[in-house]
Amino acid sequence: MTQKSIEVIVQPDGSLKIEAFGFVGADCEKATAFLEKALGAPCARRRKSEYYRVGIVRKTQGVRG
Amino acid sequence: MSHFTTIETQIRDIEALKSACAEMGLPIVPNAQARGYGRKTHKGEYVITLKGPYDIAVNRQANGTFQLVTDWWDGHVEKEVGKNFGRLLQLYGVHKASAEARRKGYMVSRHVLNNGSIKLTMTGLPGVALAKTGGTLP
Repeated sequence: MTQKSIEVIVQPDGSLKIEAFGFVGADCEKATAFLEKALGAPCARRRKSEYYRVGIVRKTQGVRG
Repeated sequence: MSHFTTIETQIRDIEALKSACAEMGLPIVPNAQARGYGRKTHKGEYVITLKGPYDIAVNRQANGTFQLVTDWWDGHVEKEVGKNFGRLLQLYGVHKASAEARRKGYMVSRHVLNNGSIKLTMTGLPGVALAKTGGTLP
């Protein structure tokens, strides 16, 4: 079983990426939701939605339809 | 002509901002005046005092976020906190994300990447760390 972990990469301009590993399906969204809510848009320039790269969520989207 | 530029940010946690300032070695003082070009000042609920001639005023907005206001003239502020407060916002994000993760029971490790980004790795099941120390989940 993959160890569950979350990676947050905060770039020098303040923008960030959040990625979850080892979570299954909706657990992944739940795992990172608190960070997305807390960090929202820490940068003055709003990021495009595709800037967030939440790996496992994207991978399981097909399964959930 | 005013040299103060207003930029809307999404800083919502003053404690995380204080941590970011502490790491950068910048004092943040409540109820002060930020210095600007030509001896102009801008009142701040908090003021981040820079080493250069100008400061950053921090004021809470109606929507609960904090707004940063400074004077970008001649690059003094940019040199200390980055373009558009980038470095300050980076460390704010690092401290905010770390604090939220620890609150959830994650262990957080921090690494600086070659491109200047900061990577936070959060491991451990949420709640486990709290349970071990006899704490309660929110």
